[in-house]
Amino acid sequence: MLTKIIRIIAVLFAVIAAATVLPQLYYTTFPPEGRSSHKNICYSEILGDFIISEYIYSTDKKQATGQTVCYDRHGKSYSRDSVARLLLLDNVSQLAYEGRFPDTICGIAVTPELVSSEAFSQYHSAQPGLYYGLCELRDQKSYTTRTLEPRDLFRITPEGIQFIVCATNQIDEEKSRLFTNCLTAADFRFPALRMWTSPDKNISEAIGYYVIDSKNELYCLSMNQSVPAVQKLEKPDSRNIRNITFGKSPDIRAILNTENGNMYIQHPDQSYTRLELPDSLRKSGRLTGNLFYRIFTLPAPNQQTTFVFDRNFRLVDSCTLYFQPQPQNTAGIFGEFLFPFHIGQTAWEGFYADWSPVKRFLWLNLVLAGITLFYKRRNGYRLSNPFVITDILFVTIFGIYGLMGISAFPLKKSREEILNSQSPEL
Amino acid sequence: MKTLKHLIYKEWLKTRWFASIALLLNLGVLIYIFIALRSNFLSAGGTIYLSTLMTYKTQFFSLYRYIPLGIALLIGLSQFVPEITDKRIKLALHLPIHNLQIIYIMVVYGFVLLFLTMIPGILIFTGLISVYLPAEITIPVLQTMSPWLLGGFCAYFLIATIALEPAWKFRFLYILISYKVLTLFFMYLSIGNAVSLLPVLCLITGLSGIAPVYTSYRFNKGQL
Repeated sequence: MLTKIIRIIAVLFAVIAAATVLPQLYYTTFPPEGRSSHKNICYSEILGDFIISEYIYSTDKKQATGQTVCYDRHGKSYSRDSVARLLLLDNVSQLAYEGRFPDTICGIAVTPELVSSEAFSQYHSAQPGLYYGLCELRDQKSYTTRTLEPRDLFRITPEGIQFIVCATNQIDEEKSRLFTNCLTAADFRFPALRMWTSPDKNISEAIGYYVIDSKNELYCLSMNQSVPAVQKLEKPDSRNIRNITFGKSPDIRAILNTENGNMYIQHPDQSYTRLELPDSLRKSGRLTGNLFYRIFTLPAPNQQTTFVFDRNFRLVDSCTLYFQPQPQNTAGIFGEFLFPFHIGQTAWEGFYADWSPVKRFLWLNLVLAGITLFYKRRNGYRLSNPFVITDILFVTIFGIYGLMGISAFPLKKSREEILNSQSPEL
Repeated sequence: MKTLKHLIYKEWLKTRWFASIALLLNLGVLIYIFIALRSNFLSAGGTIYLSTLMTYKTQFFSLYRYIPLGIALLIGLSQFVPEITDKRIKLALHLPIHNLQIIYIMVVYGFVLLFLTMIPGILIFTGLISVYLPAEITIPVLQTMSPWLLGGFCAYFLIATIALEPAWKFRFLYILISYKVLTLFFMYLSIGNAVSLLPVLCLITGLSGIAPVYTSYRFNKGQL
């Protein structure tokens, strides 16, 4: 009995191995994807509407060529030349080079340098990234003298803040005590749950760190000429903060996500504006900005929604771009019949299984289960044996993987089955 | 008890030199990694080195990745290849002990030897790097190395399983399956990113520990 149970485990191992390697081998040899869809969307400050550009492939499948077509949401087409004149803020360099950049846009006097300086792009994630709990606190005046350059890393433990001198790996007790007292005076409850700072060195020096204490209150910790500066900040709402990204634009100090999915912009005066983003699309996305607008692009499966806000973060317009599922060639369809699922692993998700559509692989699985049943009966295995039924179930669920597994680890017949299979000869 | 001692001594005679080489290899690589870490730490400066380490999450210890697998191969092959040559394990199976017990004395011996070869080195390495690196980096380093160590143990159990399989056609299949199962343990990850994988990898390692029961049973029954 023990051996048979271990055999089942060994069959599952074989299923895992097959599910990892066979699809990879197959799809490398026979790539399943057809031509991918290339669509892009921009907001025209001239039209006050979105312009969509799409790469259309040639109808001759042997040709890899195509052309880019541009159209607005009402379906009106535009030539590439006219699109450049409608998307002035996105084509500054080209228009300036050709001498076609206007002096005013929407009644505001502009220069190419002004428009370029107002443009920025950054990524915001709804989930926090890998966190070691050990950070570098840069002095706000570290650019003035080398004596203020950081030589330590800090962590906030239940006992207080500790500055670890990198060269010796020892705690700077005096500095740690100074900062701990300052945090305690600001009603900070140790330890810190999470800390964030800007990846930009200058912003990191100026602002310092946003720290969440054990009571989920928000603080700003910084250092000015070796003197600690701690400020308790108002949270945007009563919910706990999930992630913070610092802004690249002067009018955005930080972007905060709370645990119920709301997204807030923190302004330089530390006031907040909640962004009107629907619940279903509160995911990681890209923020781009120009002279007039702040544009959030949020991806979702087979679609992308673009939200346009004015400089006061009032919603101006939004548009959802749908991407057609990639057409499958014969190899792709055949692969979905053949492989019930594919096992992968990533650091973020751990192990995961991508399943093919059930209505596709189930037919082959049933055929293989029928073949297994026929084989078992023909070779004298009794169907009343629960392990025989388990083998058939493996093939029904796991298809070709299950068949390979039970073939790699064959089931031993019981004494009765052997006798029954030999009895006609006797 | 006497039989047990004799069995263990027999295993020791087979594996002593290979275990010594494995121990030296393990210690040598870990000490080299520490020396390289120390050299980079002192030349770049502690603050810059640690900031760069945390920003780019680089694996300064990536040289150690396949060492546990190599140690498992050294000990596993040295232990089981002599047994399967001319099926000499049949001599051991004639002893007045249950066959499964004999097999598992061998497997447990190999597991303990593997443990004693790898883990002290890891402990020494942890102590050495703790001189220069704070706990917030040392712990993620160990978390990242854990799948490789588990992979070594899993590899040993799979070597025992393959060696005890009587039929070569199935041995070949098991080698293919084992190769693919072991690749799950050696993924390229940033420091500290392996935590999500550890529970499943521990489960796979534990289950592989009982896999030799299946093939040893087939071997005992003479199944092909």
